[in-house]
Amino acid sequence: MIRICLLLLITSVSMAHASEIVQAYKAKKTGRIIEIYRANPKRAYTKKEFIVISYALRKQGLFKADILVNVRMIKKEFAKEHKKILADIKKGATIDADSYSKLLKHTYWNLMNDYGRIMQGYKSVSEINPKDREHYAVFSKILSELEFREGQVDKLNDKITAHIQYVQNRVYRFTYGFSLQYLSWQQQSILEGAGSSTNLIVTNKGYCAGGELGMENYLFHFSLDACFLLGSGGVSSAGSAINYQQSNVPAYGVKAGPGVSMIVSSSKSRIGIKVPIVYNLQELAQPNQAGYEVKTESPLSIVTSLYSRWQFDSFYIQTEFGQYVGKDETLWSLGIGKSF
Amino acid sequence: MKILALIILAAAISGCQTYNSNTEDEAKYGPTNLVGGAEFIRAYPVIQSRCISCHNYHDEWANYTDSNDWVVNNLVVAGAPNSSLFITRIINHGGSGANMPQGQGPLPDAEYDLLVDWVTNGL
Amino acid sequence: MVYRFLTFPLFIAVTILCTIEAKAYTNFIGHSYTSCLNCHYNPTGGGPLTDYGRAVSATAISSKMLYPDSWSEERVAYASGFLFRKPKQKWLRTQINYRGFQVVRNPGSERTEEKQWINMQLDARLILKFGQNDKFVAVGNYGYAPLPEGVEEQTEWRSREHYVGYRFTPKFGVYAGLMDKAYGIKVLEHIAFSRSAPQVAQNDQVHGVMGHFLGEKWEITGQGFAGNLGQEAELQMKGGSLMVERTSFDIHRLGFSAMKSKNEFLDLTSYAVHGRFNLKEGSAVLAEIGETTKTTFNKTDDRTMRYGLLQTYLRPFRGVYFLSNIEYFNKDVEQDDYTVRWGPGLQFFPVQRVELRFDAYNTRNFSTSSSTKDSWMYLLQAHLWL
Repeated sequence: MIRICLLLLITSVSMAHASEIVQAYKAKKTGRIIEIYRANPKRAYTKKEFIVISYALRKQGLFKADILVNVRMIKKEFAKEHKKILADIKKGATIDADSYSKLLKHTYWNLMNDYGRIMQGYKSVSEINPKDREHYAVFSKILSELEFREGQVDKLNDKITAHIQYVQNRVYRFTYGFSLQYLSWQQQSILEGAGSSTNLIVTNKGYCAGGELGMENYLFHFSLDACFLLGSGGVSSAGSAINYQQSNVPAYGVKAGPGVSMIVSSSKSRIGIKVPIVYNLQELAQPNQAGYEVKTESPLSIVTSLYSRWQFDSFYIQTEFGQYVGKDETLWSLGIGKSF
Repeated sequence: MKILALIILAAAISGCQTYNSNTEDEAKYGPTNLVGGAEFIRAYPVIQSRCISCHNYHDEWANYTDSNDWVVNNLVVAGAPNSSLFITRIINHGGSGANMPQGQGPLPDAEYDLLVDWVTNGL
Repeated sequence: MVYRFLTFPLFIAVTILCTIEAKAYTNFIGHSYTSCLNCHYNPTGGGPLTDYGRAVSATAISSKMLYPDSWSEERVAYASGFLFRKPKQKWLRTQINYRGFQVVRNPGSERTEEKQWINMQLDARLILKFGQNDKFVAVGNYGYAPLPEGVEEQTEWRSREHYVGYRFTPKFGVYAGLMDKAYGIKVLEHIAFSRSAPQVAQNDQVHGVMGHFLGEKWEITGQGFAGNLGQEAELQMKGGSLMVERTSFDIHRLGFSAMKSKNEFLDLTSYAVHGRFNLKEGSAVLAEIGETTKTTFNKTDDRTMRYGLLQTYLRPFRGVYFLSNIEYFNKDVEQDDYTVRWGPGLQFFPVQRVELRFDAYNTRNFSTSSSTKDSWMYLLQAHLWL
């Protein structure tokens, strides 16, 4: 007797819940549906209730919970069909799409979308779960075989592939490289004497050999590069009181500094800016005429430059064109390099 | 209609400007008839070899075979080399704007003196 | 001395290096296709665009930012015709072209020379085309072209192109009339040393006959010309040119040009090698090295000139290109002196038919006997076409 009463009690409570779920759905209260479901997730829900609960979970963005609901529904209502379709796919047999119910197809669609939404929610590489991809692929394949919403399946496939690629490409990786540049730079010096001073321009050219360290993802490249400078230059003072001329005066030093660039193509070509510090030592001979003196400016300068790199696999060609901070003089370089 | 279009096409392309890189070839590279005093005749080979090889496109210098052309076109001031743009732009003259001839460095003193002599005494 | 000797081969190294490690793909140089004939009536490029060329210009090159989001690329392409309309017939096409610029030399210095806005070019183009696949074309161009200061005898109206062409097969065609000489990379900058030294600048078109072969990998253009027949006979540059290009690794182009031309006073012989390299998604590199030997009647200017050009287009977004133009010029290989001109620039196509461009040019002279301040030039350009 007690058992019968208990059974009646449980049944009446269940029926009350069932009708509550449907009522909440009719009242568009998805939150209430989820509340009821969460209060008793292991209850034996009807097909209709599963559908409503699944709808509510997807509406609220609870895709993982929705996966569980849909899997339960398949196990309860479509176990045989599900087993058959998996076996047929494995065998490569022809599948009669019409022999499968619409509800089952919609359930597969929900599952594919749930996994898809989970993967589209990845924000970093650490969140990528290969199992999500696997399960998504299974349901995507089933839907392709059932020829259900084919265009949309392909579109979602592309979107997810692109998103995962994007998440992976966002990761910064360490890079390094070596380069050899041909460069030219100008510097000022002053010829003083007999109560006057004349600005002289020293034009140098030479080579700079060095390398870079950097961090790079699909869009940005942050780097620190340095090279040893070796060159020579000349100066002349035509038009001043004395004739002063020097040529092939050796110059050597270091050029180093940070840079940031934006990668503009899939070949990894890029444009950016650099702010190198140039330390350049060059000793101009003093004029023979008494009372005259040549003064050179500080060997240390800062340059702001535009930089571009054209990448051909691991080799590259780069250009740099910049102006000394606070001065008119410019520095430019053309170089080749190899990156790793 | 097609024939008419062809005729229009043909008519439109007649009577055209032909100025190009070769328009001044005769003046630059042909036999030259100079008009001017001895100073201009001595200075002209310097002008031709040091200046006209570059100043031959948007400038008409190749056609200035008359000494007075240089005055009329405000390149020189008679008797005043320091006020003559043509002289003050030469590297030998000095000053911040003096950078000609580009890519060649200062003229040999003898050549520079011929140009100054022409402007000072030959106009 | 050592460094000057190594400078020129550096340009060769750049060209050679670009052929290493490239992989085979099916796409083309930047957006542009390996052959100019894809987009232009003139097989060597320049001049009016074909319908396809206009559509490419509208959908691949120009920005879409001013169009409604609802416009598809197809709709944008349909609006690329003359006066924004899809042509109603197949045999007639028209185009109008305008280019103007402002140049400032040595800004911010005592040597500043500021100029007014210059209307550089305004012309109309008429194209007639008949036959299957437009086998037969007749192209004419006529418009305004300002003369240098001081030149008064000539009119300011000129035709830069008028020719007829017949393509016997899609691979082979013959053209006759006034056209550009087939030599080197036809860059826009008419002050480029690579164009001025061999005299293939913006007004150096010649009357002649051109044969053009376009194979799967090879493209060969041979031209015989009699000069500009509108000029006096003794000034007409008669001669011939040959340009050969080969597609390399499916996406790059390497080429060679040779040209010989002479009139009564001047004899020019020019050779060049060049490369056009695809950096993908619209980015590209152009490189050319050449030499021109000049012999003059009065022996006042006999010399061999050497030039190099390295020009890049890097495209971060549709419609925007960062340019880098590097030129080398030795006006006499017997001398050690040479010039390097460096020009960063920005090119913007806000919408189809509109191009805005800013270039800065820095010119540095290298001489064993002097050291002079760099000269600068800023160029602001607008190009409009219908």
